[in-house]
Amino acid sequence: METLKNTSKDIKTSLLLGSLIFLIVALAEIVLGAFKIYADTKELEEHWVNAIPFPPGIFPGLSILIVGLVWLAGYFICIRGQNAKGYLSVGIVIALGFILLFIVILLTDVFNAYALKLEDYEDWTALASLRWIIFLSPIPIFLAIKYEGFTVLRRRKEQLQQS
Amino acid sequence: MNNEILVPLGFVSEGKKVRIVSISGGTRLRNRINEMGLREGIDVIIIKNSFGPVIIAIGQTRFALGRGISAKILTESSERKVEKWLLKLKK
Amino acid sequence: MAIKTKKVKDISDGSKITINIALAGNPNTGKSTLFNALTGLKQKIGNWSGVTVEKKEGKRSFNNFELSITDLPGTYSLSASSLDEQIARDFIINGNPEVVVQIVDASNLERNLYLTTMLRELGARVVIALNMMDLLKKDGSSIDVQKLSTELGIPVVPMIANKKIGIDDLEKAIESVYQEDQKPMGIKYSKEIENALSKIQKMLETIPSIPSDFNLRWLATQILQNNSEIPTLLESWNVKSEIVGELTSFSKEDYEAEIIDSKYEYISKVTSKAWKKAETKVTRSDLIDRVVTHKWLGIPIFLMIMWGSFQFVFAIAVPFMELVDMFFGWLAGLLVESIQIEWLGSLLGDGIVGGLGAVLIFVPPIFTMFFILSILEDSGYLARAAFVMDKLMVKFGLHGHSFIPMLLGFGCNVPAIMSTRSLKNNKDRMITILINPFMSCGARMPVFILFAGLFFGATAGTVIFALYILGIVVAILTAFLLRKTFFKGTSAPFIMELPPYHSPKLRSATVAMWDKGKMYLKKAGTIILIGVVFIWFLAAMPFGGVEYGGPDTWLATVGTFFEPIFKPLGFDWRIVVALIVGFVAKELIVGSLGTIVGGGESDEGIKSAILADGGFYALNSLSLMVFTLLYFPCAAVVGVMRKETGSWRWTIFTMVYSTVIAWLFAFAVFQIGSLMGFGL
Ligand SMILES: Nc1nc2c(ncn2[C@@H]2O[C@H](COP(=O)(O)OP(=O)(O)OP(=O)(O)O)[C@@H](O)[C@H]2O)c(=O)[nH]1
Ligand SMILES: [Mg+2]
Repeated sequence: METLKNTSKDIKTSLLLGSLIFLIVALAEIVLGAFKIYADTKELEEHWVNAIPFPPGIFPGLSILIVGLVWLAGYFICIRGQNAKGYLSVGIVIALGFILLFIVILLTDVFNAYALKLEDYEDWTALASLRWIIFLSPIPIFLAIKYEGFTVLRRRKEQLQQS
Repeated sequence: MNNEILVPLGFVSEGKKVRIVSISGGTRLRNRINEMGLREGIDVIIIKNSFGPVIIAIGQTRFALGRGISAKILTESSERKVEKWLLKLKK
Repeated sequence: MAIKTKKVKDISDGSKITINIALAGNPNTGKSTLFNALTGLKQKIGNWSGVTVEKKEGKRSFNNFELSITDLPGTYSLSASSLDEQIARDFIINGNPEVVVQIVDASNLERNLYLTTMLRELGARVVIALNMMDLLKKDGSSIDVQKLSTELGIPVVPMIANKKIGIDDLEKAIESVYQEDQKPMGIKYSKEIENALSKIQKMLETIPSIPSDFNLRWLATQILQNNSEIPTLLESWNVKSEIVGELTSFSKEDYEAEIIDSKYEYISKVTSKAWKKAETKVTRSDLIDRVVTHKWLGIPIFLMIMWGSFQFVFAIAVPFMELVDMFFGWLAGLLVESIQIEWLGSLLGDGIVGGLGAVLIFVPPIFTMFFILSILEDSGYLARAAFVMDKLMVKFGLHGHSFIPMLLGFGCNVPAIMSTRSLKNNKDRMITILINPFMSCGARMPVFILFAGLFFGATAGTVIFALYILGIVVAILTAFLLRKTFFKGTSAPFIMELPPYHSPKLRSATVAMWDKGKMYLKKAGTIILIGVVFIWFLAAMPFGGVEYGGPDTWLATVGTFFEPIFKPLGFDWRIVVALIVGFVAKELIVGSLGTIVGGGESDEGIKSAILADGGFYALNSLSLMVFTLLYFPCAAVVGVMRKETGSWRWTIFTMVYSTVIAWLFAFAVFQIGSLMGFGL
């Protein structure tokens, strides 16, 4: 049975670490993404931001930010002695959702470039579609296995035993 | 019972279990709410009450209630009642 | 309001007996799911309250019976506090159902049985379909079905409607109920009420004009509860107004409350023996709700889900669209070249394939969008989105409930406007209807995807997202204006059920996607086809000698006539023509551009044709997208608006207002953009 009160220390550190990493990466991507737009409009081809093989973007950065913020809010909920499991799960779901989304985009880009040979993709490389959140995927996957996967597996087991 | 303090639903803190004592506002409104299963004498748990509508749990049902209506629903702590009852027993 | 008495028919002659059945029940209990299982039809299903807002009939036969089944909107009682509930109530009372199958959500037994008591009091023959039995164990409760049935005195059939479990037993129960009389339900009210009831009943008995099979006790309780529709009903029977006055004078303010209480008392007596109630407890779903409705995070989460959805739609769409586009471009070229009769080749190639192809290449993104919307509705998040927006909506004179029709508008504004029937307050409902066309429907998406894709490259998904947000903003501001001027007053209290989360099923989302998408394809085969042929005709006339789609054609004459109005928005006559035919259906905008621009010599699809054309560039296509987003609701929406508001005045107001707003916004975009140097 769930309650709105108390929570384990375990979750607390996971939330804090996870949120810090996500927030830092998010801020970096958003700031660099804004820079990139600036550099693009001023047509500074040589700008060092353009040299990053994985181009940053404001909105992709926001997708990381939101996960970081959810976990951070969860951390503060923990400190207040309340149950932050929901924050952990929602953060994981959003993170995995976006990772999946960007992988799909990457795959369609590959298809557009190599199978359809679209003009827009002439000097496109697969690196250009590697969104930053994809690099962070080990974190939500780890958390999912640690806190969610375990219960799912256990439930499966229980179901199997019952039937 | 009469000296029990009644608290509007909108002021009950999250996680508390309370009993609905009265629903003020027009008779028509109260009757419609009653028909939705939200009525005097039942226990509800406050799931969320910090911003915007209040979320309450009645059995398996979850209701979102706007600020206006949740100010009109008066509740008493059902836990406190048990304490009182225990006190009486001790006497 | 006659309750039909049973006709025992002779079954021996082999003809089928038709049984008229109503599917009634609380919202979101699975009525439409059961209806679909019984009839094989495809009523819309969704995990939120208020999906069905219109009655729908279907058939099923078994043994000697033909069941004529009517799916109804959900209702908590027969008191009908909104339009959809009124439709349900009217059918139950006036539609002469011989058997009422009430779908009861097993996890919410007590509340659901309240409606049962009302149905029984009315004298309806009731079968209870005890649905969602699969969820009982998870809740930690249990129901002794047999005992419940004996206590209530009516059949109770346990079911899992979405797995089609329990259908056979339901058939049997319907048959048995149809052939036997049900005992009247034994609720005794307080002495005072019973006295008043019998007095009223005696008076009613003396009135000869009341149909003889009418349930007088029910009528008496309605009079006592001050049902506002009773006086009109009595007058329709030519009851003298003094007698009506005398009858209604029996009612007292708190009688209704007392009657409601007695019903709940009866229910708790019935259930105490048959139902092990689960304790109310905090669940995982509640923990999740606390996050997605969070003070600061709720809206950002909602916006990011929206942004992600558009990225997804766009990513999936691009390669498919390329393939379809290439195919149609090739086909058009082939037709024009290989058919010797020149005008026929042009009609098939330029007109039909060019125009229709331009519409059909957007099938992939539109289907993807419908898929995402179905998942949103099926998971239960829709109600949470409404919750999250409540605070904002209240500031602008509406409340969260109005946000549900708005979100549904992303699919199509027609069902979205119909769904406002579940709003409780008429002014709220009017405002919510009038602002709905600003919510960008699927038919407008082709314009966005085409032009954002062509001129905004990697940021296309974000541009589309921004357009949808602009639609929401204009809608909410309009609501504010309407509230402050024509629809003064406060909105009804906000009470909404939050359904439990379901993990969305791939299969049902695909089915729902196909159902919605089918409409798009159907439209393409009918109205769009006619539209593009019409455009082709004008673009090729006058006969002989003129360049197809050139400046000497009839089409150009029409377009250039209106061009001055649109010049400040950056549109040339071809865009003007496309926008004008877009009045009929928004798909026709790309359809006619495909016919005009994509036609003629080129053997390319619409995308390359537009790029090669030179008349389109980033700024005027942005202005075109904004104009398309906001202007004139399509013909179908005009029709449904007229029907739902019951007023031509307001419908015409919306048509004019939205077009003026669209012009102003597009003007601002184009002029400011030009000043900033983004022009051609
Ligand atoms: N677990 C479970 N879910 C069910 C069952 N029957 C229906 N559902 C789900 O319940 C939800 C509501 O189903 P609908 O058929 O739309 O309900 P409705 O009563 O027609 O709803 P309204 O038209 O809004 O009044 C959907 O998400 C269904 O998939 C069942 O037996 N078990
Ligand atoms: Mg339905």
